[in-house]
Amino acid sequence: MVLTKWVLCSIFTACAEYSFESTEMLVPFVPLSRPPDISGLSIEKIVLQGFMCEGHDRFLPGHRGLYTTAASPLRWIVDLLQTVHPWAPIRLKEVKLHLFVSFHSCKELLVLLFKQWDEVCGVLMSRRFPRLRKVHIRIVANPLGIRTELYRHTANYPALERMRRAGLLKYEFVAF
Amino acid sequence: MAYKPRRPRRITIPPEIIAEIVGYIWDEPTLLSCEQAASVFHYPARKNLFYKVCIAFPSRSRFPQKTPRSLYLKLKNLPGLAQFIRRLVVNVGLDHGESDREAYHMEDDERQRVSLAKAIARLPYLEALEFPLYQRQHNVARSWTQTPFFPALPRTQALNITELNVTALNGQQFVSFHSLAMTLPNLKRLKVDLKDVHPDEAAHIAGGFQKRPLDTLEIVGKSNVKDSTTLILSPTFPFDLAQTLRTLEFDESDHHLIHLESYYQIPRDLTDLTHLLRSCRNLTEFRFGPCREFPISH
Repeated sequence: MVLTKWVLCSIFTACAEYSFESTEMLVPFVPLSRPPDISGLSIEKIVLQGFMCEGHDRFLPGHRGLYTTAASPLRWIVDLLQTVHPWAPIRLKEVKLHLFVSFHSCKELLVLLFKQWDEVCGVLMSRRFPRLRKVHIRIVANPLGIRTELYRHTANYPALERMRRAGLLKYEFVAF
Repeated sequence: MAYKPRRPRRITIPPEIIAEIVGYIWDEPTLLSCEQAASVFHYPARKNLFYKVCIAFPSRSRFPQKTPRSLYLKLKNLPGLAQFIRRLVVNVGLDHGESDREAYHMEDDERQRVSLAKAIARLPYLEALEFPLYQRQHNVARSWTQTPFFPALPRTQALNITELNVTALNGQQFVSFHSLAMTLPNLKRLKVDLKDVHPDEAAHIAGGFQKRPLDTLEIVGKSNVKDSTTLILSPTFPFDLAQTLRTLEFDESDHHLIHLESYYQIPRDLTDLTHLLRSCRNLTEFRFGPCREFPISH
């Protein structure tokens, strides 16, 4: 009985791992070059979507080592926003950031993502965007048993909390 | 004195409220049930049911009920349906394998295109026309569907259409797309995949036309930033983006399309995006959705 149970559990685990692996293999990961320069534009709303996944180097011959760590779109987003010079502000009113976190290595990816909010909030609340009134952050993740209490609210993250108290932030964490 | 039960009071709900409630129903079986429940549900349920109609082009043996000709015949037999149809989706390149390719004939294709034009002529309230590429993953349809699929639009329909989706556009069809675009004076939103459309192929279009205004441009699929920018800003492109464009959406990622060979094209070059943004002087909204392409940060 125990043996049967053990065998079944092993098969189930193997199948689950195989399915994760095979699905993860389908996620292409191609880095972008430098973000476009948005300084001096009359843009009022920016909507950016990012997909966080663990990088794979198996499809990238010659680029081994570049994609072994988790990737995050926030660095690129910060660089995009930093193309605006603080002394030449633009009339941006609304920013929407929609981030999808891959279920594989979800915990590590979430830790990485939430480490970077200080930088993002710092840029958004700088004098680059004096007319900014609305920041909508939406994170969609499939945590697969990871405790998500830490990420559901902004209380543990001073930068996000500061934005929320300023009336700028609408924060959503969707775990499915 | 014997107990006499009171007749339950009839509650009459105004048809506007019923229409509002039915307006929230989106799934087809429920709407079909609603439509058959009572005459008061009839109009709002049909309004939702036939808001968007999908057909396939060229005709396929697998779905004979989804061809332009079947739509035309249906509209001919039931002209009352036409008032509900607002969006028409013509799935281009529906390909289920060898049997479909064998069933494909140029003559049939031509007949279906005529039927499509006739069907559209019977839709007085059509607002959006979509030509998405139906099956992208093993798409060979692009290479063998050579005929231009854009129908000639009557004046009434051309005036009503505000939204156009031509993600199935390929290089050979740019000229017919150009002609279609020039007949749509009130177009506000254009969705296009410019992957296979090279600016050189459009160069032979005679100049001297007045460019149309456009409010929103969505560039999706595997469009290349450099080539797309060149084409969009070329004098042959039928829309005047520099003056009128308000929203630009650039979504290079495609959830349904996974090309292993695209891994070798790194990094994705975005230098022309700055040029595109600077060219659109009245741009107020920028949407960028490269879902899976971001540089690494530690």
